[in-house]
Amino acid sequence: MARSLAGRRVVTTETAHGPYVWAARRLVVVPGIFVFVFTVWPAIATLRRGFDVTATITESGLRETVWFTAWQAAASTTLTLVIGLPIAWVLSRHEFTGRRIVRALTLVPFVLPTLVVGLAFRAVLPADLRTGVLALVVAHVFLNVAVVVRIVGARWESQPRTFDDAAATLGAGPVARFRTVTWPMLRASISAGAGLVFMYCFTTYGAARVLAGPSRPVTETEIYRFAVLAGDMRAASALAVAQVVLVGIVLALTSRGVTHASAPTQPLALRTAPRARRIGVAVGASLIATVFVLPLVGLVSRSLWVGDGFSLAAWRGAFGTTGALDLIPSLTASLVTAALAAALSIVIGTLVAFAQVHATSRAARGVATACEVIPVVVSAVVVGLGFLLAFRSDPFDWRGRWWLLPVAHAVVALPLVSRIIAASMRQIPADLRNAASTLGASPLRVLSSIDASLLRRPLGAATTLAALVSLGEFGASSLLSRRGNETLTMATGRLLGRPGDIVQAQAFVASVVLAALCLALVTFVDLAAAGDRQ
Amino acid sequence: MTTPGLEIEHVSVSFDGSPVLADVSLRVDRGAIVAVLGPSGSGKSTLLRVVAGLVGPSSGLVRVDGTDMTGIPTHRRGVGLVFQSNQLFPHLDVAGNVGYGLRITRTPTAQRHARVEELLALVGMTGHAHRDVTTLSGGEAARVALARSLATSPRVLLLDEPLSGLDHDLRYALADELRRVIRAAGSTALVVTHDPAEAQRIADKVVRLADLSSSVQ
Repeated sequence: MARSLAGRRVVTTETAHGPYVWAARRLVVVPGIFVFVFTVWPAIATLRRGFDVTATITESGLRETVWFTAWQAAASTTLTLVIGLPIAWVLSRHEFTGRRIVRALTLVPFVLPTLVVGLAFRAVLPADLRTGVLALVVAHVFLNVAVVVRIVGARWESQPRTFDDAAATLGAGPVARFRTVTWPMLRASISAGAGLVFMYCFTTYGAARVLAGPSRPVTETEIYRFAVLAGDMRAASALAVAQVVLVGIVLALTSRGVTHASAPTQPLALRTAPRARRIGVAVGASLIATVFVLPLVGLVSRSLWVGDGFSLAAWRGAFGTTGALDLIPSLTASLVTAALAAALSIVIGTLVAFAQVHATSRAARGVATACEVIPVVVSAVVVGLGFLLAFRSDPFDWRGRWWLLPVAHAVVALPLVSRIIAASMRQIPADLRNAASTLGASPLRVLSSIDASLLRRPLGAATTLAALVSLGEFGASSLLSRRGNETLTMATGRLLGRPGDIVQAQAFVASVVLAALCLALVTFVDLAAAGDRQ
Repeated sequence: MTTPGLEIEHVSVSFDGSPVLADVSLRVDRGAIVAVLGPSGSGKSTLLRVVAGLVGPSSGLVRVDGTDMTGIPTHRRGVGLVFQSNQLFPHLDVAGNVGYGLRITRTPTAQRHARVEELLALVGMTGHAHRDVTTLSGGEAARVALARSLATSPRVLLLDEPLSGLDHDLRYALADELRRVIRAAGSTALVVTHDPAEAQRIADKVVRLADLSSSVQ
């Protein structure tokens, strides 16, 4: 009898649903082909050019670039953890007025394009710190604190406070409690978060283009320089190969042992907490809010600064003929590209997720996993380079086709999208489908009445995310850019490289519009989700 | 003449202005086992949390072996608490949980191992030292939680609905065992429960929480 109480493990009913298994096995072919043509094939094309990585890297002095990229990424990751962990603690362990707002603020940089964040830092940092390692590292911390707050914070929130209480009654003080209870429980999530942050910082591009300065190139900016400005595809490919290998190793080492968090427990209501802690949390929260709002303010004010005074000239010019920005066509190009990229990645991502969750054969599962993993280790610039190399001759001669850009964006967004959808699909109990079947629903009816309606919100979230990725995507875009149909990110990049007070201010105008667009998108989806819940 | 092991004097607690405990007083003789009875939501758990220092009272004080505990943090009180849902640390095995408090106080390893063995024997769990705590049955987890709290020889042992998660039959068998183990450890003990039969089996003396308030409710 007592055995029945053994463990409190959640039993997942993974009973296979016949028709779904059948469909998953066949449908996985579609994402399989997509990922092969648009990720594996370009990767092979890159590899063929850069296969003698070690030789090329030493001969052209690229080793220094890889080394610098690695250490700035390590420094950025360390600093992100040092700053992110206390923020995660404030936000996930305490309940206070405005907690949701402060939390949303820390996620803002993650939603914004890295190029925009780079520009925001250029706007707020003092002139002598504007470019260089320090500016880059600070921007990386700002961008990635959200990763720590989300991944570690979610785990921290789900750790019952009573474990702390239990440790206290056994004689553990605050430090001992952190060392013996909190740390062991957070370790896996910290390692996973650090791995992701390292990957983001190692494959930094937008922020590095703006902040690293010409004397300290990172691998992604060097790939761009070699491929587009110098036309040296060998060097570009060698760097790309080195980067993919390094990122793959780091992710493989850090992503093990992550347990997905259970339901969050109630955070501590501060009213009963000691005074010192209340003050600490209040000061911390206001500090976080300030630090996260400041760069945005800087961005806006810089777009209003022309030459040596405030003026609306850059904005007015963007709608007219002054300066070098045509705002409305760029905005349209951005929106169209984002819509296409989101639609494509949702279709492919849903099929990948469906196969991951429902396929039973090893082959189908293998293809689905490959479709999720391969695009993760391939950075955006490498996708762009691969497209350049793979699609300029037979069998796929697609030079200069307009649709390559949304397809590249879809590839970049694919792992994020399929992961969100798969996680939600797994949570649908198989017995819901079985119940629907016994009530007379056909397999298609089950799909539409059960899965489709339960997946509406995650699909919405995934679509937003894909659109955000596309709106801010700069790496693949700068390798695939052509005349005409210039998106906002591409316009920003172009304007920055050109002289003139109005032109410079207009780079910031484009970024402000881009930032506003991204924030509006997220807010809209949040509001829609909130309305859904009621 | 008996000496008091635990004194609760005029303790009141309110959360967000609504009173949870109103002017509660209770004295437990050193080495005695007292059970406090009350329905769920009556503030029994809060009473234990005040004694453990996890909740600060809005007024009143707690004395352990004659010492005022006001302002002393939980980890320096020498008060053990067996939680309602055990709260075994999932990242440690059985021996790791039982020996946790001893590691905190830097007890030498050999001595710690001996003490863990001794406690596992006391609660009838010899041979289970290296089991993963998530594989324990409800009764086994309750025993390990008890052993963990007794390991550091607390001056006062608090038990929050110690048998609530268990099957009916097992419950009363374990209630007798609980009494035997606490007696053997010689701790002053305060048990809270909603089950009068359970209270009778474990404790020397049973009181109702409602009778402990001196003010009119």
